[in-house]
Amino acid sequence: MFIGLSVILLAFVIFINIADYSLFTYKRNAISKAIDYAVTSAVQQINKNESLIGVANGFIEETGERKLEGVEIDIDMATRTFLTVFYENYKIGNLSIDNSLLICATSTQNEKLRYTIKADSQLIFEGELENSVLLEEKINQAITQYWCSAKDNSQVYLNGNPKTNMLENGSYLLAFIKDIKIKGLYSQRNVNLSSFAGAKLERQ
Amino acid sequence: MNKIYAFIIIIPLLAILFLKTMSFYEFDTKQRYIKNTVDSVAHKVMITGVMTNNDKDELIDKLEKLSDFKSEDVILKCGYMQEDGSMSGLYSYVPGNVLERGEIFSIYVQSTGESALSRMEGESIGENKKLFYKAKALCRVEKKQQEY
Repeated sequence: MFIGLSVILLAFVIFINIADYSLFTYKRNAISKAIDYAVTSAVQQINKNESLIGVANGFIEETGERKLEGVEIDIDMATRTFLTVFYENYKIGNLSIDNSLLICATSTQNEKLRYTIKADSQLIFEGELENSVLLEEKINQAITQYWCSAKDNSQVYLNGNPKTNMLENGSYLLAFIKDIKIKGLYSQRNVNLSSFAGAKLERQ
Repeated sequence: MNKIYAFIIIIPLLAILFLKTMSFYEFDTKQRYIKNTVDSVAHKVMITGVMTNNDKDELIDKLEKLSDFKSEDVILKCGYMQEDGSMSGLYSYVPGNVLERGEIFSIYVQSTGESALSRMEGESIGENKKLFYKAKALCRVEKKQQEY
C-alpha cells in the first residue's frame, strides 16, 4: 500500500517537474523569438538626417565597389521600436524588459566601426574601433558597468575566434536582455538573451 | 486487504495521472508545433514581403492536422511603424499583397475547438479560460531596400 502510494507520489513529482520545465522552455523560446522579431524591426530605424545617402557617398572609384559607410541607426527610435514589437509578440503576465535592455548600434565611418551602447536611455559607451572583433569586449564592459551590482557576470559572445567574428564593419544592432524572469508552473528562472541583426541595405 | 486498497486507490490514481500526463504532453507538443509553423510563415513574409494564397492554404492544411482550424481562424493583418516607434492601427492583409520594407505583418491563429487538456481539466482552468491552441507572430518586412 505505502509502496504504491510512494510510486504515485514519485510519478506525480516527476510529472510536475517535467510540466514546469516544459512551460519554462516554451516561454523562453517565445521570448527568444520575440527578441528576434524586435531586433530585425528595430535595425530598420535609420537616422536619415545623419546618414550619408546616395551612391556618390559610398562608391569607391578605383574598384567600383559600393560601401555602406555612414548609414546610422537611430538608437533611441530603435529602442522604442524594439519594445513595441517585443511586447506585441510576447505579452504574458507583467513581464517588463524596459530596464533590462541594453542596445548597441554600429555603423562604419572612414573604415572604422562606430558604436553606441545604451541602456534605459542612458549612454554607456560611444566610440570608434579599428576592428569589429573588438566590439565584443566593449559590449561586455558595458554589461559589467551597467549591471555592476548583479551577482553573475553575464557575457555576450560575438566572436568564436577572430576568423568567425559574426559582426563585420557595417550597420548592426545588438540587443541584450538581462535577467528575464520566466515562471514555469511553480519555479522561476532568470535568463539572459541576446540577438543581433544587420540593416540589410544596398546603396543605390 | 492491501490488494483491495491497491485496486480501489492506487490503480485509479495512476490511471488519472497517466491520462493527465498524456493530455498535457499532447497540448504542449501541438502548441509548440503551431507556434513554429506560424513563426515560419512570419519569417517568410519578413524576407519576401508577401504571403500568397498557397502559403495560407498550406498553413491551414498543417494546422488542420493538429486541431480544428478553419480559414477564418487565421487572422492576417498589416500596418505601418510610426516615426515615434509605435505602431499604426493594423488592418486586414489580403494574401498576395506585396508589403514594402518597414511595413508590419501580423499573423494570429486560434483553434475553433478547445484542446483535449482543456476538456479534461474542465472548470479547474476557469469557466471562461478554455485552453485553445493559439499562436501569434508580428514582424517587420526587411527585404533589401535600395535607396542608401
